[in-house]
Amino acid sequence: MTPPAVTPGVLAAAWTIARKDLTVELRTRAAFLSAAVFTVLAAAIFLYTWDPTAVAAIDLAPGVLWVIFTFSGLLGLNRSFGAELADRAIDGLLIAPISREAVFLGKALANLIFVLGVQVVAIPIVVLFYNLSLGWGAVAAIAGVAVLAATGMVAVGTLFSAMAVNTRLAELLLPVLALPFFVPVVTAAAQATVLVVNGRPLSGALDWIRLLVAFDLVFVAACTVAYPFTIER
Amino acid sequence: MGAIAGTERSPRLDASGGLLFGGGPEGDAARGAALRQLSRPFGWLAWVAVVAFIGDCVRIAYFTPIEASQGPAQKIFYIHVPAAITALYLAFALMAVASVLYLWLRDPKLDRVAECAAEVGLAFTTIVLVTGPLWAKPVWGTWWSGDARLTSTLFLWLIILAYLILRQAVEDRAQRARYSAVLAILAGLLIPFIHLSVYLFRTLHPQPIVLKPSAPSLPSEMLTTLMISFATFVLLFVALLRARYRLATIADLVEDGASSGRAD
Amino acid sequence: MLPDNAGYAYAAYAAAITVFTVYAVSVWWRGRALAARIRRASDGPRTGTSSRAD
Repeated sequence: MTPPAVTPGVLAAAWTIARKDLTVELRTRAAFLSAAVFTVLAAAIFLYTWDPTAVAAIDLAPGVLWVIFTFSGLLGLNRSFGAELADRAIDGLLIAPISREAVFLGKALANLIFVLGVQVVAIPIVVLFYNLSLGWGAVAAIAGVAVLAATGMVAVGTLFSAMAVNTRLAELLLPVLALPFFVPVVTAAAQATVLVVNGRPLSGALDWIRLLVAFDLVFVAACTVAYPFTIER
Repeated sequence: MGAIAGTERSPRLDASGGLLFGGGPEGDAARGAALRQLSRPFGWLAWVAVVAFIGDCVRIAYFTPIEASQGPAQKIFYIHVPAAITALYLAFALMAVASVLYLWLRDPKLDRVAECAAEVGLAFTTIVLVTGPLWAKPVWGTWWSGDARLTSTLFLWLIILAYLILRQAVEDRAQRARYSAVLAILAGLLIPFIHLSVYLFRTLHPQPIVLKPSAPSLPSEMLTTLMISFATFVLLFVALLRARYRLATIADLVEDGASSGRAD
Repeated sequence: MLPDNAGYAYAAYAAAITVFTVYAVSVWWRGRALAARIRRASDGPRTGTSSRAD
């Protein structure tokens, strides 16, 4: 890849950074594998703490799915900026002739693809373990909800990951900062999933979908604007 | 002690010894003023607030009628609601606004205001969270009813706690101010979403019908008591904020002095 | 017939007073620690800054 002669646009630069992160991930697969294994383990633990005679699978599965998404997402986010600390790679990113918003968007995009990849593992596992029978329409609806939810979570999580790695508590801080922000997202996504799993149309969850879309719009914009404020030196 | 002038000290000692207050008579005067303030952190305003709070309690206990259906427990209303309003619309709003202004103007004072508002706000939200269940138990029959406003307050409490933990975790003062300002602003955007999600969750999951005690037709005597209580809580907030702010100002001065000594 | 639940009200007021008191004491206490630090720094040993832990 030859360096571009002119300053690339924000989206092009963001894509370059996202591709860099994804290439690193594809070569090592370390984070993805551990997140995928975590997903399976978490699903298994939930399975063996579950009393099928007391709670129907259909009532429990959406909650399990979203709890797993939340924590596996955090696993991936921690690594996002943590990886840039080695050899002070982050300085290289910051002195590149691209806007800081682009750095943020690139990082967030890579994280989004990572989290969606984990979800591709998690959804079949939960469907399998809880013996759910979903049609293609239901799967598509859950996938749509997952994309909407992941977008908002990743925007907030990426920003807090950038902050947390520079603090004394490092990755311990990320859940403390990010989880309150995941509350509305996870509530909305889990409630929409409940409807879908019960075979009802997604239109019944319109309020939740609206909430997810509004959250995405507000926090993708706010976090992109806020990111440059966290890296002034 | 203050009589020892800083002039004969070596510069290195002065950095720690004279701290920020510098040498000479002005330094000694500033140091003396700081020590005086620290020995009496609460000014007259705090005593006014304490007297107002005692008066408020007397009014609530003896000069406010007992609500017929809920009994004496309804009187929790007069601390629960003013504490909640003060926490959200004064403490938290001040924290968010000061944070926005900090990122714009970069005045360390604004960062201190945000920090102090967060801390005092934590005290007020704690009161809301403790008095809420104490009121819900006798009236609704359950400690935690999942009421939208109380649940939102729980998350507000957690966010303020996260804010204070973040502040503890960042050493550099400018960086701490920027990070915490970013968190406070995002938290300001988050609160409406949390409230909406908790509210939607409740409306979609029919729960045992509960009596909403904050009836709009509050008798005038009770309304007057509520207003007095509200004024009292505002006073308490301002008094605590002022005391905490003075402490923060001096603490920052000391930190500046200490770090300027360490730098070279 | 009024329900007999004044105990909850007393508990709530006691809790509120406790929270305010604890917070006020914590402000006072931190102020004292800071004052001690200022005094120590000004009157302390004149031969270096090693006594500072942080």
